[in-house]
Order: sequence, then structure tokens, then C-alpha cells
Amino acid sequence: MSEISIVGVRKQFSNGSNALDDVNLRIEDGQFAVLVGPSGCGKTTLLRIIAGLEKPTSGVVKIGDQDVTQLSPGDRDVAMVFQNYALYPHMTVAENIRFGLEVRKLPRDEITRRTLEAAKMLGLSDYLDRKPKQLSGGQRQRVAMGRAIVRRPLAFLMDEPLSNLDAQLRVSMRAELARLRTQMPTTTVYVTHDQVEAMTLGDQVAVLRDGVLQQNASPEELFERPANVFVATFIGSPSMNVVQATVRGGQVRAGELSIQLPPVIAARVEGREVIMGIRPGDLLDARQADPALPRIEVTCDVVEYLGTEANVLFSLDARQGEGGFSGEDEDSEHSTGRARLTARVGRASGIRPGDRVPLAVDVERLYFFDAQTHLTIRSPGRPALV
Amino acid sequence: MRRQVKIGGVLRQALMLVICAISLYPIWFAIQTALKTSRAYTLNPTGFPAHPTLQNITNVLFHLPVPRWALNSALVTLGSVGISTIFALLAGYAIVFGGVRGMGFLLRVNIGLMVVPPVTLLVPMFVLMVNLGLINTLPSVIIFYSGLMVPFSVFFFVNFFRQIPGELIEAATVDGSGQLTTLRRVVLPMSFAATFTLVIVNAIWAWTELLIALVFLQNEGRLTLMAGLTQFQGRYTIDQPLVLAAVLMAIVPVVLIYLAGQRFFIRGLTAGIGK
Repeated sequence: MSEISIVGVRKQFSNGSNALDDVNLRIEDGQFAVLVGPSGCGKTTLLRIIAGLEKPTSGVVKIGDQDVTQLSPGDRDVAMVFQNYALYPHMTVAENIRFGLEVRKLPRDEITRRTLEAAKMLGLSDYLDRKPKQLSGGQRQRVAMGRAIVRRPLAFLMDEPLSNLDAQLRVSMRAELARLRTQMPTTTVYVTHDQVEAMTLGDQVAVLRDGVLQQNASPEELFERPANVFVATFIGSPSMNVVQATVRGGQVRAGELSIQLPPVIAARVEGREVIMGIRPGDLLDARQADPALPRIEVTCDVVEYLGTEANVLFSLDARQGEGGFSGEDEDSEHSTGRARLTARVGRASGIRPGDRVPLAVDVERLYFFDAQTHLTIRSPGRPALV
Repeated sequence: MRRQVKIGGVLRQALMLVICAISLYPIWFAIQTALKTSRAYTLNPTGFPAHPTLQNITNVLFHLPVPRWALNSALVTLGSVGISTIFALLAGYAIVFGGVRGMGFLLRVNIGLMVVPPVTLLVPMFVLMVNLGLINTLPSVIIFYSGLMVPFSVFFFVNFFRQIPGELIEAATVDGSGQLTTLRRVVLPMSFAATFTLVIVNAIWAWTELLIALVFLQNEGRLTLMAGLTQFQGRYTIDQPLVLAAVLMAIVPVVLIYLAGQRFFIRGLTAGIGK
């Protein structure tokens, strides 16, 4: 049994900053859990606390049934893959892989057998005598994985292991990781800021923001039923569009925008100040959409052509929804006073910057969040979309 | 334009040749003097020996206690450099990777110790060694030398260790490696050039140190080589060819060590100046 439990973990650094605030998380035995969030959200700190490289200010970390909070990293039986791989530069690939077994004084035969096995599994058999500097980025990454795998630990901890690779290699290594997972179903905690990695690899994904756990759920659940505006805007690419809105008389109004809601939805948000959210894929090219869907007409600012589809960026005379993940664009959004939105349309739409574009709104896929708490407004008995 | 560049190059080479000649002249002077008799040296101190002789070198090696002094010097050098290097390695590791509070203060104290002139410690150390019954023994000098070497050595290692990515130490820790194993198997092999450089610098200092050796060691049989060389000087005369023959013997070990590890020495001196 190697489930990992994080109970009430807080971490305050000596400069007074709070890195983690009362984080509670449970990772089942054999699960692949991803910690995701923007820079500085505390995900790496949490991983380091699980590894024992940082001590929590308060709270408990358990691996299996054992409270490991006060144990040193070497006594926790976890293996870690670091962001920059942390390969020992003076050792060969084989020496790097077998180091963890040697310091644990395993029999020599066993060390050799496991080293060769791990090397074979990772396609490193031909590179065992090379030094790390003689390897490519992908090969180094695999050595780092090999060093962890060979230990057969209770849990793997991975700190953005793919972030130093170029885009193409990252995709292939992601697939490699997924393949390894099926071969070694060991409990894994994986840190990344890349939500695509989080969604494709994780059995469960924990979204962190400013040291606070926002939601811990399966990728589907996060996407379909985000707990709040932040999760809704952080998960999904492009981000969910969010605007401040008011619901009156069954109509949701956001600045110049006005959409008639189906009665069942309107009933739950009637008379409230809300943040309305809609994913770019649910703003459809009106020319190809169901004629029954409500229409809005916008002026296209920018078209991002992606090959199979295109992102149409436009702005509305409405206030951007607060509490969302805004990346590095936060200042500009607020300075313009207009909400920026994105619609994802087919590549054949032929839309150009400056065009007036009719868009259909899939009202069944609208999200509503409380304007003050930023939490999702859920309907009783209907856990899916509101 | 091309002509200007050419003249510039020639001038630069000429300047380097002059600097080279100035640097090498003392060695040449020592060699040619060691090959002269005392009389030949008096008649022509700087000229090439008309009748080269190995008499001075034979005297130094077989008729004077120079080999004994060289052995003393070697023991003092090995002892002090060994002790100070081990101490500084452990201290540097603890300061950089120990993660213990107060290490920054310890480092500042250490830097303060680097600027204490050794001569001010001479009398208190002498009294201490007398009280410990160590005066006129090699350990007295070894202890003093080690103490003087440690502050700079710690400073040197701290600066070098700071360039080693902390993740390597953390990776070893997670792998179950203890502190001493991490130092021995991860940090030390990566610090070979720096350690070698420090050993050479400290060894040269210990091998050539005179003042402390003269004060602390008084029996002829316990002198170090440098202190021993002063024995050749009479009140009114000095046998220059003999002294320089001994000097040549004294510099041979240092030159050999340097030549053997020149590659590491240069790398150690330039460690950390680029990515």
C-alpha cells in the first residue's frame, strides 16, 4: 500500500510568505496524481514536502500507513525526478542509475540486474557507458527516469520532468511516460504548470493557486465541473471566456451582450450578479450552428490559425470576469475596460481581422459563478453544467 | 592596416618573450650558480660556468642534512595540507549544503579570520605549544599551518560548492545517501580540480614557509628545508652555489606536482567564471 495522504499541510517560509495553506490531499495507491497551477502556486513546495526536502510548518504527510512528516528523504522510500534531471555529471549512465541501489547496499548482482532491466525498459542499453554531457535532452530525461525506476520505490515524485525539452520531444516523452505507467503502476505525484500534461497524464489533477488547493478531481471533472472561476479558466486551452453579468427576466446581460437563457438554467441564477463563463469551443460559427441557438455579433480582432481550426479573438463592451487565471495578460485586460474573448471555429470559416462575425452561443454549456465568492453556482441534483 | 596588425603582433610576442626571460632568469641563475664552485662564482657570478661541477649537488644530497629537512618539509606539508583540506571540505559542505541556521555567521567569522596576519599569532601560539609540550616538534608547525590554511580553504570551497546545483545533493539525499557518502561520491569528484588547486596553493605555501618554522623548530634534525637553508649563511659569508643547489632541490617537488596536475590547476583557478 502506498497511498499518499496530505493532511492540513501549511508551509510558511522564513520571510513570512505562505507557500501552502491547509492543503488536504489523498492520492490512492497506484494513482497518477498531477499537481498543477501557475508559477508560485506552491505545487513544487508540496512535492518537496512529500519528498522530505522541505519540512511543513504544520500538518502531516503519510505514505501508506506511516506518518513520514519527520522522516528524512532517504527513509521515505520515494524516488524523485528533478526538473533539470540532477544527473551526476562525473558518473556514467549506468553509475547514475545504480547509485541509489549502491548507497542502499543492495547485493551487487541485484544492482546489475535491475540497472540493465531499467536501461532496457528505457532504451538506454547502448548508452550505459556514456556521461550525461554526451547525451541528448531526451536521453538525459530517460536516465533520470531510470534512476527513479530502478529503485522500485513506494512512490515516484516528478517535478516538471518534461519542461526542459523542446515541444516535439515533450510530446513523445509524454507518451513514453504514459507507456511506463502501464508497465509500473506505482503511485506517482507529478508537478507541472502545463495543463495539457496534467490532463493527459493524470488520473487525478489537483489545481493549486497561491498555496490553496482549488480542486482535486479527474481531468474530465475538472473540465466539465470546475469548482470555481480559477479552475474553469486554468483548465482548457484556450481559456474559458469569463465576463461579469447580471441575470434578469431570464436574460443574462454582460455589457452589450444579452442572451436568453433556457428556463431551467435561468431559474437557478435569476436575479443574481454572476460571472458567466463559456468555453471557446462553445461559441460556434453561426453559419454552421443550430439556428435555434441565440446569436451574438462581434468584430474579430485577431485570428490564430491552428491548422484544423482557428481561434477568433474579439472584445466585448463588458467587464472581464474576476478571479480567473489570466496568465501574464492581467494588466492589459483591466486597462482596456473591455472583456477579451475567444471563439474556436473551423478552419474553413474564412474569418479575417476586422470582419463582423455572427457567433452562436451554446447556452446549455454556459457556466455561472458567484460574483463574490467566484464559486460555481451548481444546481441541486444536477452536478454537471449549471 | 594589415601591416599595423602584423607590427602589433610582433610587438606583443616580443613583450611576452621579455616577460618570459625575466620570469625564467632566477631559475637559470640558480642552475648555473649551482654548477659553479664558490671561487668560480666569486669571479664571475652571472656568467656561464666555465667548468661545470656537480660537487654542490652531491654535497647537498649526501653530505648535508638536506634530505632529512626535505623529509621534515614533506611531513609538515602533507600533514597540514591534509588536515586543512579535510577540515575545509567538511566545513564548506556544511555551510553550503548543511541547511543549518547560523552557517552564514560562521562564514563571516571565517572570512574575518582570513585577514588576521600570522605574525600576530606567533607569540600566543609559541606559548601554547610550550604549554602543550609540542614546541620543537613537527606537530606544532603542522597545527599552526593547518590553522592558517583553514579560513581561506573554507572560503574557497564554499565559493566552489555554491556552483554545484543543489538538486544533485537533494537527488542523492532522496536516493538514501548520507551526508558523508554524498560528499565523497557526488561533491568530491565534481570538486577534483578545485581541491587539487587548493592543495597545490597550500602545499607551496607550507613548503616555502620560513618564519614559523624558524621560531617553532630549533634542533637541526627537525628543521624544515626552508629553515635549514638559512643554516648555510655564516655571519660574514654565504656559500651561494651550495645554497642555490639546495634551492634547486627544494623547488623540484613543487614543480613536479604542478606539472603533473597543471590541467586541473588551471581549471580550478578558472572554475565558475563561465557557464
